[in-house]
Amino acid sequence: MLVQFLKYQYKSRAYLVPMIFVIFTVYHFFALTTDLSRIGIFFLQGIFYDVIRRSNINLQLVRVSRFPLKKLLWLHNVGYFIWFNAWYIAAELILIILTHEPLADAFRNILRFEILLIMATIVGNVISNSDYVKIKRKFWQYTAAALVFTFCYLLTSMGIRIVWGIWHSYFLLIVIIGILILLWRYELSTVRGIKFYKYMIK
Amino acid sequence: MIEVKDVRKTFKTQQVLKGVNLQVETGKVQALLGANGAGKSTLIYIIAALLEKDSGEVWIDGERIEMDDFPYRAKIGYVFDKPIYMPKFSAKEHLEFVGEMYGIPKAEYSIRINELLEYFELPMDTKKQIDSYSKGMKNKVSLASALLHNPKYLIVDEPFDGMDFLSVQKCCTLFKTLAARGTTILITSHQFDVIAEVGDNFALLKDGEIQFNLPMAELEKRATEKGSVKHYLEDLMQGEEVRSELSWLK
Repeated sequence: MLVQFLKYQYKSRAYLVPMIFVIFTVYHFFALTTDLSRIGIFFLQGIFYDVIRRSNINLQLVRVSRFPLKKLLWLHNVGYFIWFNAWYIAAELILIILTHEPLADAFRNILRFEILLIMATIVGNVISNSDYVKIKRKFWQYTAAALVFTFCYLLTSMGIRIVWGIWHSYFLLIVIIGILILLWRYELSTVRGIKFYKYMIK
Repeated sequence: MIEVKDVRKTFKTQQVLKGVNLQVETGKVQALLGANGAGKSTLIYIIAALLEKDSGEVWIDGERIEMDDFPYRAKIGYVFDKPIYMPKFSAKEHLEFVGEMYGIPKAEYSIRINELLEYFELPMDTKKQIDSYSKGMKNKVSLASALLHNPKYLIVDEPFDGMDFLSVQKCCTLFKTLAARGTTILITSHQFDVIAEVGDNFALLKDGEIQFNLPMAELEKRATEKGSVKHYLEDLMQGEEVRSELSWLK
């Protein structure tokens, strides 16, 4: 099923969206600024909330087939997780080749990236199933979601900076990833139904 | 058996269903007739438990169905007025996806998919995306999806939209075969000539209520004065006097 999901994302060109990381990396190489690649997650925040609608799978099909929503969300999340990682790792490889970035730095960047990516996925899933869907105007719906997302993004970025600044520990970053994965699994297990569905029909 | 008891539904100020009662017997093809906006699709959505009713009850196989009541859905195949499909997949890929969603073993759904694609004359290759199919072909994909899990009940809303004459005939034969095998079918269509051929019982939904639910023989008896069932139904559906010509076309 995951392969079919990835195939669908490939066929619908969705896999091209996270290519923004490569663009940011190239920009980083020429402008010699700090690593902007992770900012890509922030720019692509729309992908993370409104998740079910963006999965391109007809909701009626999900509902009539009894397909578990939590599995749908999980597959969609993992599908995007793979595409995001594929492009980010490609970007890091380009960075290593072009700027001779040390492998340790590349590894730390990847760990930071994973933390932000999992956080973004969790926040996206939570927003998708929250009361924000009751906001009738799309503009205000997205504004509210963007505010929550931005706040969480900045908070996590700051958290990573503080943790790394004090302890300089790769192990601690891996522990944070582990905790976030558990949180991700727990959050998905709480999904029961498509909350916003009734706001979509008639 | 599908039983609909006193179902009511209002959208904002418009009361679409004002106490609908309908019984669909097992192994029969039940036609649901009505003018545009009569509430046929709304009723279908409520029976499919995709739309919340204001009041009333829906019973399937002696079980009361509520909104988002998932367990009974595996028994039912749906074709909605807007075809359901994954636009970027080919018919084969889409059906494989549906097979996975219904939890059918791969060996089983592969056989069924090949047969369905052949039966509905849909492309076997995986290059052409459903998005580029014609309207009739999209409806065939939707119908094939509904049949893939071998449902006990089939609920079809306007399934012949955009289909060519031969395909319509083929679908009618299929519906008759399914009904003879024990599948209960609830069908809506504006093409009365077609639905007359396949239906066992005919219910008319008008003014938010089922006006009658009769077999064809009974309907023909009632229509003797009008000459044909079609004219009889046209009169019933139209109701009050309506404009039959346009002044600037005189």
